Amino acid sequence: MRGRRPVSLRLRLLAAAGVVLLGFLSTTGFVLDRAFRASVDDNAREQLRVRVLALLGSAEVVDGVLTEPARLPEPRYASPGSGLYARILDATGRPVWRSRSLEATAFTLPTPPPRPPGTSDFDRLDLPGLPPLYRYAFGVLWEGPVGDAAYTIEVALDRAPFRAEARAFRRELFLWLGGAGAGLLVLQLGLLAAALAPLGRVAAEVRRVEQGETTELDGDWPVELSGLARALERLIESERARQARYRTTLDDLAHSLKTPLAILRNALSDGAARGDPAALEEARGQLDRMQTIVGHHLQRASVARNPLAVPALGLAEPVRRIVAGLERLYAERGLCLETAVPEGLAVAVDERDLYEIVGNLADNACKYGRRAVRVSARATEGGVELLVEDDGPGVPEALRRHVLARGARADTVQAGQGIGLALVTELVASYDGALAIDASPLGGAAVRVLLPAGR
Amino acid sequence: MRVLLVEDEATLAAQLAERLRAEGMVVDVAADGREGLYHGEEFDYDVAVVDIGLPELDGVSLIRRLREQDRAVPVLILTARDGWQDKVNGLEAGADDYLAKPFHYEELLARLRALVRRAAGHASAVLRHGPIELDTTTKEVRVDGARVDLTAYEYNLLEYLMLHPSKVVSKTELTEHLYAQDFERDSNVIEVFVGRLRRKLDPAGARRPIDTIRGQGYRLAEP
Repeated sequence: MRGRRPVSLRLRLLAAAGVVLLGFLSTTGFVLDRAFRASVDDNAREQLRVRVLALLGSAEVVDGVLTEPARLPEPRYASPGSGLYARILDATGRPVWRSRSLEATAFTLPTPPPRPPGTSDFDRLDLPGLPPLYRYAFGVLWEGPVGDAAYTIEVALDRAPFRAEARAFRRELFLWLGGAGAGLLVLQLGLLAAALAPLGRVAAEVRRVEQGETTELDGDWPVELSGLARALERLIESERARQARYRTTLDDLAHSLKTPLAILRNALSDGAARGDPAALEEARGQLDRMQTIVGHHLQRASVARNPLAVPALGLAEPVRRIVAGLERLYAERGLCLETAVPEGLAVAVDERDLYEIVGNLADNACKYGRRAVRVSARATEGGVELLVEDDGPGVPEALRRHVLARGARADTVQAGQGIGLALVTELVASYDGALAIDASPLGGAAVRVLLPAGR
Repeated sequence: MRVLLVEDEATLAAQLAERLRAEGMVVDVAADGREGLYHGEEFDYDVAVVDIGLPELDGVSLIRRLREQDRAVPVLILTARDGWQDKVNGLEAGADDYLAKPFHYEELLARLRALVRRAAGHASAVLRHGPIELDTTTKEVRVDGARVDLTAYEYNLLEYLMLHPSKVVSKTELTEHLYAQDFERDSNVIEVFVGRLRRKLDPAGARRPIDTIRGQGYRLAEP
C-alpha cells in the first residue's frame, strides 16, 4: 500500500466518541461544581443571618448604649480561634462590642461603610492578613430614651471548613465523572465492536473466497453493506466466469491447433522435403486454418465484459462512423447505405463490443447486399432493437439455425463471414440479448439484435 | 505503379517489398511514420501501404497529415488488431481499405490493384480503351480480342496510360512511376518502350494507339 495507511474506522469512531464524552463530562463537572459552590455560599449566608438575629435578641441597651450581650447565644463567640466572630459598631463605625473570639485574634476586620437600618450585606472577605471569611452585616435602629441610635451588627465565619467541603465535593465529582467517562468509553468500544462486526465478516468471507474455501459471501448483510456485498459477489462471479472462459478458450485453442499442426508436420516431412508443390499447398492451407482458429479464439477471449458498470452509450454515432467507413470501403460497389438510428438512443454495451456487433453485421450486409443496406434501431420494451438489412440472397431457413449455433468451434467454421457472425452471437448473448435472422422487405437478410437499453 | 510501404518491422517490410517488386511495382520503404510522411509529401505515389502501429508517428496520424495536405494517394492500412474501432479510426483518418495481419500476398496485391483502379475511376478489374483490353488481375492484354504478349515494363507502361486515359503523361512521370529511384533515368529508355508498345499494339501501323504530345509526353489516342 502506498502512503500512510488511513486511520482505522474503530479508532475514528472511538476518537469521535471520546471528544463528545470529554466535552459533555467537563461541562457537566463545571456546572455541578459551580452549583455546589453557590449552594455552600447560600448555606453560609443563612447560617450567619440566623446568628445575627440571635445576637440581636440577646443584646441589651443600657443607658441608651448597646452593650455586650449578657448571655452569648453560642459558646464559640467566647473561645478564641473558634472561627466565629462578632462585633457591634455604632453609627460612626466605632466598635461598641467585640466577641472574645475576635478580641483574641491578631487581625482586625475592616470597617464597613455605614449601613442603613434594616439592610443586610453578605460577602466574602479575602484580604491580606485575614483568614478567608464570610461576613454578614445587619443595620439596626435601637429605640432609646435619648432617641434612636443606629448600629451595625457584624458576624464573620471562617471559610476554611466550607472550602474543605467544596474541595471534597469536587474530588468526589471528578472521581465519579472520570469513572463514568471511562465506563462509557469501554461501553462504546463494545458497541463499536458489535457495529463493525459485519465489516470484519465481509473481510473474512472475502479471504475465504480468496483461499478457495467457499464460492460466495455467506450470510445476510446489514442494509449498509448489502450493496457492497452484492457488488463483491458479482465481481467474484464475473472473475470466475472470466477465468473459466480463459481456461476453456485456452483448452479449445490448444486442441483445435493440434490437428492442423499434425497435418502440417506430415506435409512438411513427406512432401515439402522433396519439393512437392502439393505438399506446400497443403501446408499453406493448414497455416490458414491455424490462423483462422487463433483469430476466432482471440475474439472469443475478448468477449470479457465488466458486469458491474456498463455505461450507457449512444448508438447513433458508432453506426454513423461505421457506415461512413463502409461507404469508403465499398465505394466502387455503389451501395446505397441507409441509416435510421434516432439520436439519444442508448445501449448498455461496452463501446468496443458495440463496434464489433454493428461493424460485423453491417459489413456482412455490404458483402451480401446487391445495392441496398439499411441499419436501423428503435427502442422496444425489452431494450434496443438493432436491425441490419440487405437486398442480397438472404439466409435460407435451414441455414439460419446453423449460422446462429452457439459455441461453434473454430475448426468447424469456414473462414469468411462465419467468424464475424459467431462473434456477434456470442457478444449479444453475453449481454443477455437476442439475435434472430429473418427476411427483410429489402429482399435479403434481416438480422435483428436485441441489446440492453442504456439509461 | 509506385508504392509507398511504411512498415517498421524490417523482415515483413523486406518480404513485402521483394514481392511487390517481383510484380513489377516500384517500392519505397519507410521504417517509421515520420519517414513515411516525408516520402508521402515529397513524391507522387499510386498507392500507399501503411502499418497502423508505427514508431515516431502512428499510421492513423500519418494518413491524417497526408490528407490534410490534400494528398489523395489511396492508402491501405495494415493492422495487427482487426477490431472495428481500429478499422473505423483508420478509415476516418482517410484510409481507403484495411488488411489484418497476417495476410496473403495475393490478397494484398488484389487490394492494392483495386485501390489504384478505384482511384483512377475504374470499377472493374478489366480496363478498356477502344479496342485495347487490359486485365489487371491476370495481366493479359488483348487488342480486338486477340492476345498480345508484353514484357513486364511494356505492360506497366500500358497500364499506367490506361489508368489515366485522358491525361498527358510526361516522360518524367512515367519514369517515376515505373522505375525505382536509383534507376538511371534515361528518357530514351521510355521512348524505346513506347515505340515497342506501339508496334505490339498496332503491328499494321493503322491505329496509332499512343499519341506523342510534343514537349509534354504521351497520351492514349482517342478511340
